[in-house]
Amino acid sequence: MQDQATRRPEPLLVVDGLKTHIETRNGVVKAVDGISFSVHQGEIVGLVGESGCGKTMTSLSIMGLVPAPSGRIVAGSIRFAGKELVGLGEREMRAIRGRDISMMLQDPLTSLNPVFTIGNQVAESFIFHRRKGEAPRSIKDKVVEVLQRVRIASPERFFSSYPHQFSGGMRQRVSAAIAIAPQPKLMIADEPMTALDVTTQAQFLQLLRQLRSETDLSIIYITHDLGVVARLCSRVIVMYAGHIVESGAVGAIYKSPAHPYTRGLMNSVPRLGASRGRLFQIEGQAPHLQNMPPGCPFHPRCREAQDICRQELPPMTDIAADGHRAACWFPQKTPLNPVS
Amino acid sequence: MYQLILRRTGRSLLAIIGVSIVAFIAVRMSGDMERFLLPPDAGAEDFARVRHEYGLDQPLYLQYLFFIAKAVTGDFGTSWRWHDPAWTVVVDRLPATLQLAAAAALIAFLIAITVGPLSAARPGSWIDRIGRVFAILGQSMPAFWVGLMLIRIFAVDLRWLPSYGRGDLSNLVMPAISLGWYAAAAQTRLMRSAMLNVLDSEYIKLARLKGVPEFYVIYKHGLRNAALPVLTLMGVQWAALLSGSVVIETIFAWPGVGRTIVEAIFNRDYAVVQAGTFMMSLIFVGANLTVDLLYGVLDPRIRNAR
Amino acid sequence: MSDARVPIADASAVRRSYRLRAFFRLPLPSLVILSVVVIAALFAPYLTPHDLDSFDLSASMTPPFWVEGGSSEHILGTDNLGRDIFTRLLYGARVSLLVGFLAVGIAGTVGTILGLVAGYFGGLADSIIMSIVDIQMSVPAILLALILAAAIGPGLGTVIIVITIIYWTFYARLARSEVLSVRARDFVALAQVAGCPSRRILFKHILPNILNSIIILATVEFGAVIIFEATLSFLGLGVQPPTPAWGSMLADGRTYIATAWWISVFPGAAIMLTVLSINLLGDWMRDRWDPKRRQV
Repeated sequence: MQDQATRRPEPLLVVDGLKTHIETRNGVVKAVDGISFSVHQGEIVGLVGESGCGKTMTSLSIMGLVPAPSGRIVAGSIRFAGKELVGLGEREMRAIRGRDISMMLQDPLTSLNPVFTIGNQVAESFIFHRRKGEAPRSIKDKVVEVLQRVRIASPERFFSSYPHQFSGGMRQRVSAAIAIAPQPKLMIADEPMTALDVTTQAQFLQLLRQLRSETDLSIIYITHDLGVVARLCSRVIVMYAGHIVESGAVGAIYKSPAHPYTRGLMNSVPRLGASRGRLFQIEGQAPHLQNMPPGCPFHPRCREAQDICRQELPPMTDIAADGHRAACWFPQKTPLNPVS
Repeated sequence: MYQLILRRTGRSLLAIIGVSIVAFIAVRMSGDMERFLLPPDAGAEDFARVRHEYGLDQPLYLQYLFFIAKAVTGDFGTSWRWHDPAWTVVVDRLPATLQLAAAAALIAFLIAITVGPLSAARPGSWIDRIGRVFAILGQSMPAFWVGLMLIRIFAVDLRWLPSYGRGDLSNLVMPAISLGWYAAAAQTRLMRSAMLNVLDSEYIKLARLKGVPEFYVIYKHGLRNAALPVLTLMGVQWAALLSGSVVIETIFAWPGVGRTIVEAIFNRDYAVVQAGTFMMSLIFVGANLTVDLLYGVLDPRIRNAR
Repeated sequence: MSDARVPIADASAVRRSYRLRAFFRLPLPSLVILSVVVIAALFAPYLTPHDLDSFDLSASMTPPFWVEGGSSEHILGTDNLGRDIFTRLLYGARVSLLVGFLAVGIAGTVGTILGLVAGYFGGLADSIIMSIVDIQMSVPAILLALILAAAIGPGLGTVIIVITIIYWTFYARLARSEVLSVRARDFVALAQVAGCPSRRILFKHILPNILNSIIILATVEFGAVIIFEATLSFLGLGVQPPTPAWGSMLADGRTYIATAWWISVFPGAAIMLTVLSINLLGDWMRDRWDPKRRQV
């Protein structure tokens, strides 16, 4: 197992054909409907899409926290460091959750418990995840150390403070501290910057990059902000309505997005230096995941849609040799021209 | 925080003044005050003496001030029934009432703190269903009836527990259960819904994501937050417990303040009625203040508020 | 474009089917029990062969008919004075319902109006009304009741007055907070701009919008009021003998709990079943019309 994880070709996380469905009063919601991707050691992958496209459910599936009993992983596999996570018992899953895979949530104000001190909440990551053979050191020292690692000045002072006494940026650093405290191999960050202002965002991105390079941490960064992905990630996965529609290196995808949906996303980002003009907007609404149209999930909003798009789900196909793949019957080959 | 305490104390004082006005006016309304202050066989010169002594020949607002001035020194007059100062009569019976109310509150809290979170953690499970049936039954049964049924079952039929009086712990069991019953039902209900809300929050999600075992998720992260609304309820419930103690003490012949007030009303022993009412309001107001303070201890956001 | 409509159409269909199901989940047992209580109160004299005032000391403490020594003449037995318990239960329903309806009705009307005024006009009216509410809520209700009962003297009127004085505060608080949220809505502003007089806005525009919550509160309070009445009667401060009330019947039976359980068990059971039904009905109404206030 150990040597599987370190051998370079085998990625740290392999998600294969994952389908997570949620039963509701009026039908099954196919929140995640057959997605496959992988994350390598030390890699930062951006997971992009509109709200409700299945990004969060994907991360909950990996964490083994799909809301039971309505939600269920119905097919596929999630292999982490060579170990299959789908179907793992709660006890074994808990040993991995929070220790090998950790997660940061959107809003640090609501995700930190208001009635416990910062020190207490960071310490929990250690208390419930003592590694065997680890030098026994006082928990407090460890907490202080990890607070230092997320660049919180004078952590001793903040140790016994409460979340409401911190600023938004500081709180998000604390969440980061909680996430990296057990020295995980993979961290899932679910839109962690929504609640931060622009300056703080820049500092926080810097922090994530530093953490990655210091510890060889892999990060799945979930967001709908393509600008952040461009600055942080090496690879990007675009999701739409429970499916992956395009994936590949950030450079390739930003230069010539193949899927009409990705192109739409790119066009809706205002760019500095681009000529003034109307900001592009994707027409229509994301489909309701309960009554998905047959064929390509994007076809009702796609200008290029043909008959086949309405009938058959396009498979992921290689666009270029560098791992750029897209699920579209008529992938665009031309580079995106911002001045169009 | 200090401002908060100050504000609450101010309100409490207002409440006590309110009670005193009601008590004062009520007793005046009920007819010749001097009749209540004197034994039934008193003569005319006694009346005149008492009228003057108690300032009954003064205007009403002066009488009230007079009454308050005496009340704050603990002078409510003499109980003609007990031939003791009314305040002493009430103070003597205070420990019994406090013991009963505290035992009832404890029972209620213990039930709420175990059943509430458990039913919230697994909505629809058997413990949740039992808890809900119990809660709705608790709200529908008069406390005095529960008391009577307990007496019939445990004192008359099974002969396990004594049916009246105050003595050792066995005397306390039935009164405390009948008194705590309603409070337990209401608290359990509130604890369940508060817990359901809390368990839905992001910090609970994060705690689970951290790999915190479910037991700690519920009892450490959940309980402390869910306890806040329950605590407020407990403050309000002191009123219900004290109110209930009036009835329960009567049933179980528990020598407390409540029973003494009821007896005093029937004996027209108005000095004791006023003293007892005053005492009850004091306890009540004190309990509410304690809850406010506890709130500060449990919730750091309030503790640090300006 | 067409699929943009899909979720909306979907949601209303869901709501419709949910309503239908909720309708059929009526708390039927509650309604049956409450109907029985109402019929008992209305037609008490026709439902029993016995006179209310008739007593027969020779037949005192006859047990219910299924217990040894019982007779079919007194199906639920007799009390210490030989009065038929079943008959007294029927008549006792009158007191409970009368007090319930009157006290809830008066307290509800007074409290709602004061709450409306406090919420709509704010300012001095608001401060005065709400400080009375605040102060009153920090006084144990039974103490207030005891003092008032002692002052006015026990009786049906006293009970209704006392309960009204205690319970109006709940309606005032609810009405006030509801008004504050409704007042912020556009149609009220519109009516104000159109020059609608305040009274008309309050009763034509605001009241209908908060009536649901008030009715739900009244239902829940109805049960509490019945218990409160029973408690006062139990203490001897309520309806005076020989008029039967469930609470005072219980008090009569207290002395005989060891020898004649039926004297106190049946009135207690009557109170419990009635209040339980009302509470279940109230819960159902709350789930049905007011999901945001559920379980509080």
